[in-house]
Amino acid sequence: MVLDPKTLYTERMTRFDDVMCGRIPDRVPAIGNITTWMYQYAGVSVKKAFMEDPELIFQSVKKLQDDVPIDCLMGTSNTLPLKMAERIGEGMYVCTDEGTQIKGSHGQLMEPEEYKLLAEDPHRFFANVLIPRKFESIRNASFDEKVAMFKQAYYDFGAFGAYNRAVNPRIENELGLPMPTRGSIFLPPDVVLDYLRDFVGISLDVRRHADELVEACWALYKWNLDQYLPTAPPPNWKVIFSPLHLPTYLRPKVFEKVYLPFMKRYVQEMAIERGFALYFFMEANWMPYLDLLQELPEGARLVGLFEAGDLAEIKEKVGNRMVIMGGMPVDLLRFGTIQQVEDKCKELIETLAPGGGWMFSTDKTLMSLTDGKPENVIAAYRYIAENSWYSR
Amino acid sequence: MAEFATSNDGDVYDAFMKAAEEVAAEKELPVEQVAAVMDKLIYMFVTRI
Repeated sequence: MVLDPKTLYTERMTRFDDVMCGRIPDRVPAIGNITTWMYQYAGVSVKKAFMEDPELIFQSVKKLQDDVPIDCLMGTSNTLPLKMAERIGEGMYVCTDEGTQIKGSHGQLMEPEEYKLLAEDPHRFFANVLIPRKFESIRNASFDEKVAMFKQAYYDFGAFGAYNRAVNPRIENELGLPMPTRGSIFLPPDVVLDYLRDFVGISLDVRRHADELVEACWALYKWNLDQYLPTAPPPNWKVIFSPLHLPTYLRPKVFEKVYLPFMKRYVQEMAIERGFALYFFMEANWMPYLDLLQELPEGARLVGLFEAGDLAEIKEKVGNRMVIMGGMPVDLLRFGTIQQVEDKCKELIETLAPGGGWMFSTDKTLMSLTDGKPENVIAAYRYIAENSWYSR
Repeated sequence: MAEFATSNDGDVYDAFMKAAEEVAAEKELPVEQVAAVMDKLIYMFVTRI
């Protein structure tokens, strides 16, 4: 029986929300942790889809949904204002027919001696120190030229939002496919790692400048929430996404000092006090940190996608703090047979489904078509859709 | 030793805020609303492009 889009949307959204709220769903939600894989699967140029014709995004998602029985797609992946970057003439990313990539390490944009400036005034530090350092075109521009560039950036950013608004509601309304991600907030130490000090820099800073790093991160934390909250729609079933990059490079003792306090405060303020639902991408192996995650507040609507580790043990140890997402190794989708994929799905259902608290997905994001053979991806999601019912 | 900034002085922040005033006037929007978007752009110039 083919359901109408509205009924389909409600059924899928309820499945997701039931798990987030600690209820047993009708069956295990099958989450599409899929980004530019779907455009390659559809034979669509990512660059054209992101920059020229939003209809290409819609058709790619439609083909994905028609062939792969996912319950939710975390997003369309069109998250970078590429035209704005193109007009500035520089930037970190390049968009091709296959996808978007970081050009390479952008090095250390700031020096550790500047943490106190970041703590003092993150707005002016970013604007007056980092932006001219990063962008030659801005550094060499006159004041009036800068004003003109930033006015254009405002309009480009508005156009970028309008471009996505032309397609995202259609995906939910016409296809009945929920897209649960309602925005993203980086935890401050990850901002420092990814954009300010790079890996080598922050690895030294957590030893030599830990107090300054933490103080600067609290200033960034306040700025992030001040940006998000005033215009954020009220909390609903959708989740705010945070990729957690830094933790697994830190010894647990260091994680406890420079990172965990931000996780705790963020979950407390956003989820417990304000009622937002949160989504943490727990990158790499979190097994050494599971005991420390018990310090997270109880009662949050929080889901963690675990990229590695023993998910059964993770669920046992931190299932009282968060919903667990993941399970299907992309290596199996890339190299395995359909039978092996289905056997893995069966194992995951038997191990992780009892009691609820688990959403199925791939352990890593499917970015390139080579990340997972289409027949294996289809087989995996189909197996979950057919065999993970709680009450049938 | 690498050079580092010793203050947050500069004109880029002011240029963003001047841009906000001009956009607000052009589009007949509250300046605070446009300035809030410019503040997001300051963050995004470092983290998203």
